[in-house]
This record gives sequence, structure tokens and C-alpha cells, in this order.
Amino acid sequence: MKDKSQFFKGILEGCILKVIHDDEVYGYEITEKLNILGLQEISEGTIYPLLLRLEKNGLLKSKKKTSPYGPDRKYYTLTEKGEEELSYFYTNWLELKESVDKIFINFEGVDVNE
Amino acid sequence: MSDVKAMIKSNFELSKGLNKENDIIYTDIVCYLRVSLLEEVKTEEIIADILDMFLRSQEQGKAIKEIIGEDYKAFCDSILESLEPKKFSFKSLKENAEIIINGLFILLTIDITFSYLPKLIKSKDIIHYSLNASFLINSVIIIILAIGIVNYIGKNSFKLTKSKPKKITYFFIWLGFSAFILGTMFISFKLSKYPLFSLNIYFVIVPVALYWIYKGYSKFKGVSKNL
Repeated sequence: MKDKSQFFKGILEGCILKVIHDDEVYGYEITEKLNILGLQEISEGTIYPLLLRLEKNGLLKSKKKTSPYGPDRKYYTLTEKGEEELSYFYTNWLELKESVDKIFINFEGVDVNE
Repeated sequence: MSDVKAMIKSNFELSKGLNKENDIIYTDIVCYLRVSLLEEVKTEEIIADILDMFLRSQEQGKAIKEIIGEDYKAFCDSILESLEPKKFSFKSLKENAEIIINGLFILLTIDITFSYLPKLIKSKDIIHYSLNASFLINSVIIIILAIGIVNYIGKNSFKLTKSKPKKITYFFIWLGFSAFILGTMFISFKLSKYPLFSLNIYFVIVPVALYWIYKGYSKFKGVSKNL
């Protein structure tokens, strides 16, 4: 289902922006953090293309640092545009979450607002 | 050494740490990305990032498919899609120009060695270099084939690794190769009597010599930088 993956990608991008907002991180660290917080099926291969796109659109900037083994690693930070996008995402997310919760009130006997 | 060359070299050196299974997959990915329309520097940056994923997965004892999925081509396509390279790129133009220039100088060198030198020795006097129709036609065929083969292998790197070629495929490759050799020989034989124009030999020898000096020099520079 393509729509589902598009929808999910948008949310994932928001989560990636938040992780980078908290800390200067490289690709693998982002994956690890997302995994620990519950998005377990996210792999580095999933987020890498998203990182490239976010960087291309000017939401992230990256700095290369040497790594103990292997090639230099790209550490990401948010640009001003990225910070704006993050707040925008969060506002949208809260609105969406509220609406969905309202729609699902009492669905299958579960009251989400309890 | 240019930036790109240094990056290619560093990626190559680091890729030696890959195990055999990963090396096969990594090589396919590299081929596929290098013939894509992405700019060279960007391509090598991405290859370095991917190599980092490979080396780490190895370190952690994970299979690479757990990280980038089982469909390696889809993974590469998702990267290319997110960067939306331009349809026409300066890179492909530059790369093809490189193949053309290298090919032309190599073929010129061969032509001088095997067709001009014997004549020179025979006449014992400085004679003009004549460019034959056969040389021109053969060069065009060889260079077009070279560009075609490089692009075909790159675009189909995943398919080519997966499928074990049948005996019949080898037969056709062999047949094609023989036809190619016979064809060029036939052209040389038939058209070698048709010189297009002749040039003072120095106009040919000097550029060819400069080309090989430059090649030798850049090779030497590359080696000395490694020491």
C-alpha cells in the first residue's frame, strides 16, 4: 500500500527531525534512538534516503567526522528551516492526533480520553 | 589527485574489510550508483555512507538485508529518488568524453606502432602519418561498444550477479566477440587503402607522447601519495 507508506514516511520524517533537534547525531544513532523509543522495525536503510532528502531540501546540514572504523561519518544538525518544519510538524501532529482520538472515542468500548 | 579520485580510493581501501558475501552486494550497489545520473562527488559520499552501514552490520554480526532490505536495487532507487538527479547531467557527458579521449589515444598509439612504424622503418625517412578510413570507423565502433558495455553492466549489476549465465550465453558472447574481431579486421583490410588525410607525424606523435606522459605522471602521483 503506497498511501500507507507515504503517510508513515511523513511521520517518520517528523520523528527524525525531533531526534536531530535533541542532539547532533549520525544515521545509525538516529535509528538506534527510534528503535529504543518503540519504532523497532525502522532500519538505517529506511531512514537513509529520508535523511538525504531532508538535507537536499535544506532542513538538515551535515558535518563529516572521522569514525573509529570505516569511512567518515555524517553528523546531522537542523537548519533554521528544519527547526521551523519541526514545529510545524508537531502542531499538525497534535491537531491530527486530537481529531483521530475524537473520532475513535468509545470505539470498541475503549475511551481514549480516560 | 582530485577530491573524487581520493574518495574513490578511500572507499576502495575500506571496502577491503568486507566479507565475501557483502563485497558482492556492495560491488553491485557501487556499479549501479556510479552509472546513475548523480554527480560524482555526491555518488562517492553516498557510497561511503553505505559502506559504513555494511562495515557496522558486519561488526554486529547482522546480515546487510536486515539493514537495507532484501531488494538492493529498490534501496538504491529510493536513494536516487530522494535526490532526484537531473535527467541530463554534466557527469555522464564528462564520463563519456573520458572514455572517448582515452580510447582515441590508445587506438592512435596502436595504429602508430603497428601501421606507421613498419612503414617508417621500411622507407628510412620521415614520412607523413596518414589517417585511414578503416582506423576512423574501427575507432568509432570500439568506443561506442565500450560506452555501451560500461553502461549496460552498471544498469544491470543486480540482475547480472543474481543470474548464473547459461552456457548458451557464453557461446553468444564468444560469437559476438569473434564477429567483432573479424569485423574490425575486415574493415582494416578493405579500407586501409583509403587515407582520409595525412598529417605531419609530429602533430600526431607529440600529443600522443604528452598523453602518455600525463597518464604516467598522474599514476606516479597517485602512488607517491599513498606512501
